[in-house]
Amino acid sequence: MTTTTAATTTAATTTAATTTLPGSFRDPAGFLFCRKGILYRQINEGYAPSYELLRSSGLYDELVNKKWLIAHDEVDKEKALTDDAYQVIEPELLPFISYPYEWSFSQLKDAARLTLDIQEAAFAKKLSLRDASAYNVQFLEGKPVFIDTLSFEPLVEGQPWVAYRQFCQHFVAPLALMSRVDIRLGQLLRVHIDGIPLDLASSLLPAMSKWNLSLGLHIHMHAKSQQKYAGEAVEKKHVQRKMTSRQLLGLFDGLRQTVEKLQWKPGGTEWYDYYQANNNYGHAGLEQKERLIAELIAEADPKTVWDIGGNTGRFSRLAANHGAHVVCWDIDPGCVEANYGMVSKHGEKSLLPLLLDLTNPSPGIGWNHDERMSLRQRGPVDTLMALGLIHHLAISNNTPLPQVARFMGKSSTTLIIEFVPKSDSQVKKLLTTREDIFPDYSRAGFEVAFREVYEFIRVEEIPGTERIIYLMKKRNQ
Amino acid sequence: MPIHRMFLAIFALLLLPTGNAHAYIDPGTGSFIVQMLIASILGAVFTVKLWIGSIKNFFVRLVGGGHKSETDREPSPISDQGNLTTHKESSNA
Repeated sequence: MTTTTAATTTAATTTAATTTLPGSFRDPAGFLFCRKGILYRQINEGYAPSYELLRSSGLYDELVNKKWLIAHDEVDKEKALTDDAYQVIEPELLPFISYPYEWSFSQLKDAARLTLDIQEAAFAKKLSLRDASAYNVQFLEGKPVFIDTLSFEPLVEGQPWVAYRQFCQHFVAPLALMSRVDIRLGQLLRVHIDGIPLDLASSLLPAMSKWNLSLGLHIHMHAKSQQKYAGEAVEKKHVQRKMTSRQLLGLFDGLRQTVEKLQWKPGGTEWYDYYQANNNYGHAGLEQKERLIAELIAEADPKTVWDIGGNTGRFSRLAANHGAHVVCWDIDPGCVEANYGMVSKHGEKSLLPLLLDLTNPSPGIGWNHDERMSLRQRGPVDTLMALGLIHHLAISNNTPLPQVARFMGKSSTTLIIEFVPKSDSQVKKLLTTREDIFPDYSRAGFEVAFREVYEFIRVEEIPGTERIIYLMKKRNQ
Repeated sequence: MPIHRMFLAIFALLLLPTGNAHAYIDPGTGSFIVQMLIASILGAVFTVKLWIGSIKNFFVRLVGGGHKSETDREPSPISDQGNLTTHKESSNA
């Protein structure tokens, strides 16, 4: 149930230039497919009443006008892939697909807020969301947007919210764990594709949180109820009781209060204050480096950029200002959080901060490895930026330089990379407590390894430092 | 749900020991049933919040000499009976 870039075709079902995207196979209401580079969503006959209600109620227009829901055009039904098609739509394309385990705390929180906003707007028009998956939210122009047009169904009065469990697993549990236990527990979403099991969240949260009304109800009591009724026959009268509208509105309001109260502030993480506290440039040097990087970006002239190890996005913004769509990846949740804070505050539209450990990048997960794409499946990009990164890959992670060059070559056409020599204080720090088993880690070794994959366009030594910045272009192979 | 049964249910759930997660078999039923209970509690909290809002508005109007407050301008999504107000501009129109 994911809208994606039209370029995404890997591991999908392909028939004569038409590709069915694997992420939407569970949904009987319809599916996504790609034909001649254009992304379509087929809506099946069975979903027709819900789709018509979404349109006729005015909900679609309201949500699209507020930029809460991805817009689409209805296209010729002839484009349908199967006989049971009711309608074919062409959704607006997203520049990049990201996943909840790559989001910072506030990105997940904003996605939760959006899901509740949409559920309340739908409820007012007698519709309801039938799922509340975090994967139904993506980031477009710096803000979350709901992408699953087929998630709406007519409201059945008296019925509970069918997506309540999913909302707790995809949003309440990870936000609570990140806020109350450890920010890194957001990574549990990478293991549990349908959200963090509530019994797991309940056992990881501090015991005192049982006495917090919000977490006590939505996590602890919820988990115990799941355990109590798992595999147990339930009397019909228990599931035939009706819920009033006020109870449902109270539930939505309670979930919103729960989400709002969960906070996390960056600071104290490893890289958060790197530029302020600990770099090899100084203020004037940083400005000089910025001017050089801006020049190299202009020369490369990319439309898409990944800035890997991008910290809080200082250099990513140079590429964004040049007009590229930039994903700024960093391993530190504090940096990603601070970067997203700046994106939100200044309304930056072409910068997406995301969390990534490049030594263990996002894999393809879900059924048949296909439901969520790996990092590589979402590339390549025009330009890769790797500034102040190479020593972490080559020395901290023991990755031979030729392998680093090959990885980067598979991910981009041009590369802006900084070489940090052993004499640099940051590298000295890395080598303080370990044996130097890196004889090839030198300027010469670096250039030999990277010349295998790239030709060098510019080589710039930074005055006052021992670092060198390269602009490289991938060789035609 | 009568209030004494609600408290009994909460008490029973909180006393349950945390065991292994059989919820993987079918977490849906427990979620369904607990949602009824949680919504009963939160629905009551929500009602109290609405009352407090109305009382505040009453005093704001009293002090402000009849000027409508911000919350007054927001249409209430629910009627006195706790049902949805009819949206005449929706599909029924």
